[in-house]
Amino acid sequence: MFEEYLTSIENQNIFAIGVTVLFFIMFVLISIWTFRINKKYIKDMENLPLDKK
Amino acid sequence: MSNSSTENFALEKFSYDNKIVRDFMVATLVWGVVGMLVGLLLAFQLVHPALSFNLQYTTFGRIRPIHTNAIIFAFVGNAIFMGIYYSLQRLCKARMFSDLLSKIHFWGWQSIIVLAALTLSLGFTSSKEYAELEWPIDILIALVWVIFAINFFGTILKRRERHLYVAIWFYIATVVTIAVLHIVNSIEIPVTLFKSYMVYAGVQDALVQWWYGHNAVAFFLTTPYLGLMYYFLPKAANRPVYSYKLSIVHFWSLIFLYIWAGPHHLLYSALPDWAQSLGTVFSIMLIAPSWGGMINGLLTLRGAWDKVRDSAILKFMVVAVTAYGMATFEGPMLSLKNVNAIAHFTDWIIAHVHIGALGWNGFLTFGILYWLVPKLYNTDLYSKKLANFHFWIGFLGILFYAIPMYWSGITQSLMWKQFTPEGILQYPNFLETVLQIKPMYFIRGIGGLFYFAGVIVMVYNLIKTAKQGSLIAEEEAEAPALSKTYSETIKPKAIFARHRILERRPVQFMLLSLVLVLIGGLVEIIPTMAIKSNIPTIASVKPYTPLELQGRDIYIREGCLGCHSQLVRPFRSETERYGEYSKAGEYVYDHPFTWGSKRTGPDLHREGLKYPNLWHYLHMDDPRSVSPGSIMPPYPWIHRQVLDISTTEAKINALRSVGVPYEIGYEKIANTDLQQQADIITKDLQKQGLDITSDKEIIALIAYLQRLGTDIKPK
Repeated sequence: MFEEYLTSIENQNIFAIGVTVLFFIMFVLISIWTFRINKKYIKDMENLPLDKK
Repeated sequence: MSNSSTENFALEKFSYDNKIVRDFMVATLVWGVVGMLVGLLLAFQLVHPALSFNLQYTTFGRIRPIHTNAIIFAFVGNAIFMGIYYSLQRLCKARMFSDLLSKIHFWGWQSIIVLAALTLSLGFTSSKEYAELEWPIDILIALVWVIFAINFFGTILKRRERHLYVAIWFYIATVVTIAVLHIVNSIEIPVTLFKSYMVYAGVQDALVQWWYGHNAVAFFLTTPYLGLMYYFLPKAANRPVYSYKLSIVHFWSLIFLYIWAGPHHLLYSALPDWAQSLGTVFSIMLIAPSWGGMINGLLTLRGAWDKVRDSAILKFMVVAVTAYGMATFEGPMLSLKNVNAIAHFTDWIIAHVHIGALGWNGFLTFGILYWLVPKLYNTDLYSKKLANFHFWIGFLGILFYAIPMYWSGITQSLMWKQFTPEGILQYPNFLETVLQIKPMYFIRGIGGLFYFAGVIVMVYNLIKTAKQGSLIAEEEAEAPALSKTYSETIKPKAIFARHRILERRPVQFMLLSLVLVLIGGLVEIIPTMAIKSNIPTIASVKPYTPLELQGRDIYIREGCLGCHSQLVRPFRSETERYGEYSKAGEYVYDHPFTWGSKRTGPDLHREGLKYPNLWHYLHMDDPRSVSPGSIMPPYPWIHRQVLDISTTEAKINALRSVGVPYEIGYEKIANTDLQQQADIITKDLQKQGLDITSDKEIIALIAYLQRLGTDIKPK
């Protein structure tokens, strides 16, 4: 049944292009997020395993 | 973490469960030894076929999946659980959610491993690499994984630490993705208690399998180990990770990209071109986040390299992270079509995966064990000298393993492709290419022996360490409870400063990871499921006859595809050697696909009608009687055992339910057809002077081998 629906999808390359674009958007957002993170917060986080106060 | 919003709360006393960590640690050691021992046996079987002991339970085809499953799911699997149960409790400042679930998880996982070893040895296999286990065990795996997931997320939900450290993100991605992969790749129709057919066929099955197979590497051998690296490397070096920011970027990029790369296992195959290209592009892009992890690991030791000289633990970890970097550079290179054309199906791939398994997984596990066991037993390591000895013999072991395999892989490939000036194959007999690399197989075995010796020394060292200390089963700890209401002490300036909000919301975090993984999975798989447009059907391709079908199941049972591919690639060197290249439409009734991934022996897709029935009969009984020097084990039991035809009806029914066009009612007369075809082959063999009856398994196997690839051969 699903195959019937799927065969009707045209131009399947759009999947590949679409998701590559999606990846770059995500990558840019994450990078911007990351570089704006507060330094104290980063210091706290990276010391978590070491249990340093 | 010092968190100003929690500091005002009273300290709560609790204890960490170290006993479950100890249990998984012991299981890691036991299954590591077993898995590597089976690996050694396999290595030397390729030099001395007599080492299969003429027993069906110990032949190469059956024990190869025991080795791979034991290393991946038993050795590495238990090491993952050991590391997660130790680090998660501490990073969450909470005991595991439920001691009972921890125990069920532990014993459930160990029973799966035992069942796996038994059933694989008995020949119950789906033949899908790293997912060979039959359907009852698949269900058990899903149940145990759910129990682990409940215990895992339960611990996170009752944590006393507001934010989730990066290691936990990697664990979350692992728990979620493995569940998805396992379920999708295990959708099969049961025929009997230990036999099932995949719902997918041919090219679709190949794509689903390598989407699974590649991501088993990604989300079982990589992401959980990166999580362990992010916890245990800073612990061992006593310094924070080099760049926490880098870890955020590389985490999201890695889990987004990894899921796409599966089709690089199927380059030049009958898979549609666009899917192959997608696999290559995303594999190349993967270098960046993979190396992000490696750089983060290695630079954590910046300014502390003097410690590496003295500490065996850090030595193991540095080599592990370096091996990770090498394997994750080599992987994308192997996914380039021109490199893949040379490397695929050869020992190069065996070298590549062992750089990952011996270097990355093995050495990181050893480093963690040497750090962890003294902590669990409140003592010092019994012998640093022995640990250093282990490091060097293990390191030599990796070199002695990998270098001969690279050498052998390239030699094979060059010999397979070598033409004479007249334009004919220089080595038309495949066996010549095998005999050429036999010494390499021997040296590889020695490398494995070195590595194994190191592991035995480690086991001794750790037992002595445990004996000189005493287990701290309950490790006391205290931390303030989390406040129900939480406000950021530092207000995010903008929407872009909100990643940390995600880090304190595990459920949302899990869902986002799941969505990313599903996007990759769906986009990769859905278009190929559109079978009509992607896989041209071929009118002359017909379903297997009942006898061929039974023969095919024997082929699967004996693990023939561990050494023989069924995929002729569109290269002149391959069409000259084997015949017409393989078409997607030829596999539409193959549940499961049997392309294989390695050519220790020749490709068999065009084997049908190449040799007389007698040749196959003699070859299976004693390969060296017709191919002097062959390293294939003998299969004498197939000549003795009576074919079980009681399953024919159920098999026809099951295959029809997944789309193979057997006519309704055919299952009732299938065994009559089976008998007729068996009689024809038997009479032919009897004419050659053989004393044989038509009810033996070998007759079915010959029927299948003679059918292979003949559908599109001109009659």
